[in-house]
Amino acid sequence: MWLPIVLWQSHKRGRGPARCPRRVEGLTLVELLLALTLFVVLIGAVAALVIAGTKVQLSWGRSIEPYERLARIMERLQRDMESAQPLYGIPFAVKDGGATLEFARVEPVLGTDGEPTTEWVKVTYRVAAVGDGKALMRDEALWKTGATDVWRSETLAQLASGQFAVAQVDATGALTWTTSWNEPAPQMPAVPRLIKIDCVLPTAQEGHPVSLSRAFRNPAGALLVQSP
Amino acid sequence: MASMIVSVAGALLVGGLVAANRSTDLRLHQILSAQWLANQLALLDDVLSDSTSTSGTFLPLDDATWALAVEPADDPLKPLMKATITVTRKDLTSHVVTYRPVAEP
Repeated sequence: MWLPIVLWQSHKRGRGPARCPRRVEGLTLVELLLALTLFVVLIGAVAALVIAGTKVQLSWGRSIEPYERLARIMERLQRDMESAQPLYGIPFAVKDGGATLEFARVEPVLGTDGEPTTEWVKVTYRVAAVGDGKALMRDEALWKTGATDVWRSETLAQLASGQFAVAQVDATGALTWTTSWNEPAPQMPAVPRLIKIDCVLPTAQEGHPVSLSRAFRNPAGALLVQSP
Repeated sequence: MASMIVSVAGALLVGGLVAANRSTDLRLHQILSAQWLANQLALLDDVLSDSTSTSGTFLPLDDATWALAVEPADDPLKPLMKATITVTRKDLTSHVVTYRPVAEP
């Protein structure tokens, strides 16, 4: 910053090339080194500030990652619920104490002849023990090949806990939730109207666990009236 | 000169951090509110009645509350009632509007 100004001043004091002085004023080596040192220190200070700020900003961004992941899972679960259809042999089921949610839907798949076709696909969401914790898994299997032949399996999120439940109404009309919905009895609707997931993520923010209870409504489904 | 530059850079940095913090908080509120509103909307009865809950909290986050306000809808939805679900957390609010019939007495 100083260099152009000083050079311009020295040129002005020289009064033009016609009267060139014998000694042109300028900067000594010490002055140049001092200026460079100050410049480097200044740039270093600003860079340190920017790096510290970026780190803080990234750490704040990471704190909402579990929430964003949870929101994406909920959207996917909702889309799956909306496409659930009743199929004999694969009832809409909540079992294993609410750890497993199972239903069927029609999905376009690639046939053995390489041509696209539609098949009944069994979709399973399950809270499984993985290592020290739990994970929400999503499996897909062709219904005709059975549950053992899972052709797509994904780990959606690490969970501290998770549970599915289905709504029913009691004799007084109050809403209650059950974690067992597995019997294809004639009086049971194939697809329930209200399904809920309660989940807690292992990460914490501000001392609070990341927990969420989210209900999904299937307008085509029905509410089971609990017998007294 | 150098102190001025460091001061300006620091002020800009602090301003940026405050804005980023506010943005993160708003994003968090947006994510949670969308889930809470979707949850309450799913639980809202197809037909509104006197027994329909009109307020509550989201445990374990007691600082987040929801409320349901019901009022007559304007034309052309006049036979229906306008139900507004509002989620409030700290000083931030979000709402969703739906239209439902009311149970005949």
